[in-house]
Amino acid sequence: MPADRLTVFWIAIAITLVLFLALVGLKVDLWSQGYLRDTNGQLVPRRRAGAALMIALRYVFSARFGRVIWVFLVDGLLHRRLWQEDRFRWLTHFLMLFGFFSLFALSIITGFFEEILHLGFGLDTPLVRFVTNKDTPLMALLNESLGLMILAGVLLAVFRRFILRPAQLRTASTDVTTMVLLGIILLTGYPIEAFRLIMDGTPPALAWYSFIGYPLSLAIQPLALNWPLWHYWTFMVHIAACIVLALTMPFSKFFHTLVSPIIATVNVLTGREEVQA
Amino acid sequence: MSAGRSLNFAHFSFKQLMELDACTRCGECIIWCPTYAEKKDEAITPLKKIEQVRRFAHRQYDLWARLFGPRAVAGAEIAEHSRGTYDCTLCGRCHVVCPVHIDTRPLWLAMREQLVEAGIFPEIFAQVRERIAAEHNNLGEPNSNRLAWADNLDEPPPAAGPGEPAELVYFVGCVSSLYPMAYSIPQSLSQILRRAGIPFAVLGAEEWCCGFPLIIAGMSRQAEELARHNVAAVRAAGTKRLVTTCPSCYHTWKDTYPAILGEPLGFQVIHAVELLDELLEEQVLELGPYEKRVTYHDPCDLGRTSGIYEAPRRVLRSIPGLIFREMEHHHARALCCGGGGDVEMADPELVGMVARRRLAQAQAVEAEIIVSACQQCKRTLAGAARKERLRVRALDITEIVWEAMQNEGL
Repeated sequence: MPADRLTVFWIAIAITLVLFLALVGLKVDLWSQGYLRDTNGQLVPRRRAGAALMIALRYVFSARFGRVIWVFLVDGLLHRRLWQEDRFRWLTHFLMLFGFFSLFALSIITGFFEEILHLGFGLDTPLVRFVTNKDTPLMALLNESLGLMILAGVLLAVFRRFILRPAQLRTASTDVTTMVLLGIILLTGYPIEAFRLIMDGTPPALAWYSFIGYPLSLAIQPLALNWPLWHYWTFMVHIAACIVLALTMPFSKFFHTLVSPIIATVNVLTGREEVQA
Repeated sequence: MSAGRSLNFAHFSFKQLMELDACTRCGECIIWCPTYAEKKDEAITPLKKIEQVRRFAHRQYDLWARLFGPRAVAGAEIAEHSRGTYDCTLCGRCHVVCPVHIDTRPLWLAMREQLVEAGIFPEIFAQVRERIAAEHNNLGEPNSNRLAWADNLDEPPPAAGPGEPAELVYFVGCVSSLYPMAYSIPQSLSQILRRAGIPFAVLGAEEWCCGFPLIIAGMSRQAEELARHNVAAVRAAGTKRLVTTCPSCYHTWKDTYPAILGEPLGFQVIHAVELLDELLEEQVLELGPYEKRVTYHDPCDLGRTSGIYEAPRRVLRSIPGLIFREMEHHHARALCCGGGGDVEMADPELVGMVARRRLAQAQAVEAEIIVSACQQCKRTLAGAARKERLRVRALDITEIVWEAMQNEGL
């Protein structure tokens, strides 16, 4: 039997997290080669990141707090300018961004409840059971819906990039890599759920909350495969794609998801109000 | 082609290096880039410039560079990047449409600073730098010729200086002072001020280039001496207000000089359109009929760079009989005339191509006159209209106001 699925998962996640932070650290070090206007060029590069953070925190936690949060939400995350420009592009971006980060957050919360609270501290409260039980209707529904959001966003992006082909788009190899990785993550996610439902023999009344995974499980059940093995390896492929995506993120256009909300917020707050024609 | 080299990223700010990673590569900037629209050269696109500099930076600071040493950037790559960076008019339209608000214009300036230090920039800029250093104007003419535009006036404008206080100093700028095609702009403003009874003075030979051509060429350090001289000359006149007809001088005085000096100037800096707007509101100017179909071209440095859009429109709408029409692209999305960014020095043909597109927009709204508030826009648009034999006149807003004032009582 292969190594325990969750053991492999958590070791891989821990290593990925460390490597990802190291790569982001390299990026921050690169940014630190640039000067900081507010410090009159007095700081050596290795001290600039900390100083930049302090400047940002002082700005955020000031009388402008409400305005900063509003701009971060409206311009940084929801991209008001894109909404005004092109609703189709806005929807595509929103589906992918919101779906991806919500699913990521949900996975982190689930992992925390499962591995830390339940296994680590032995907690078995109704809330812990609610979050860790994959057949809880709300959790199943959330996982399926958020996955569907990303899938819809990726399909719209592929449609625009490769079918509509607007003249201004430039497709680089890293764009294709990112889309392929997202595709693998999405296309393995639903089969993993379908395999689990078959393995666990989840009753239909509960299984229907996995509104894509369950019909899929009904469709493939007659194949009578070695479901635990299929579940294990599909899960591994899913996780491997997530790891590759995380480790290539600082070098791909996907990195903008972390940086552009900050830049949009800073530039809107510090720039002139433009008259939009 | 020259061998590879490393580049200095200290010309960029921390935020600007972050902005390289904030680019989503959506390509919106490409749709709005006026020079890419004409040349279709990928190197010009904002997206490509950002991608190139990010790649150059990675070669010096990524994981591989940390482990095994930086990789040099090939000379051909830098040359391509330089071509694209200097074929940009610095119009700033890309910033206005960028979904993540990347502040592009200062980013392009940082790239130019980096290229100048690397020695990869159009040779003409080295000549301009020498001309300005020698004669204190970008044409290299004797600076004593700066008042040539006033030769035909009944009364020359008074000179400002120590012992000759002037509450309002008119900073004419190199183009209006030394290009005959633009003489009518300072002539118009000085006559408007005289008729309105507003005392003013000019610096004459003590007026040096504001340094804008050097700053946008990526040679900002050379502009520091010019800034210190000009500010000292204006302060010596005990000035309360400085007015310019040039949007680039205006931006340099208002935004760049205080940054160079590290202190406030101690007097107000305004553009002529603000002064005209103010005088009209106070009913100091009396305008006669001017029955023409007019459209307004927003100069990049007055509009997108300085945020002045409504004052010139209020001035034009206050002229009796004038029929005002907006072009397809106006305000923050106005098309550049092509004359910005020192492109005229590096690629004059490209300037004409961009100007023709702008004139076509003016013709589309059946404007007889395309009016701007910039001597460089006027030169560029008038030059292209003449070359193409188009029935559109390019004028400065001061010329129209002066003409309307002369028509008063008709």
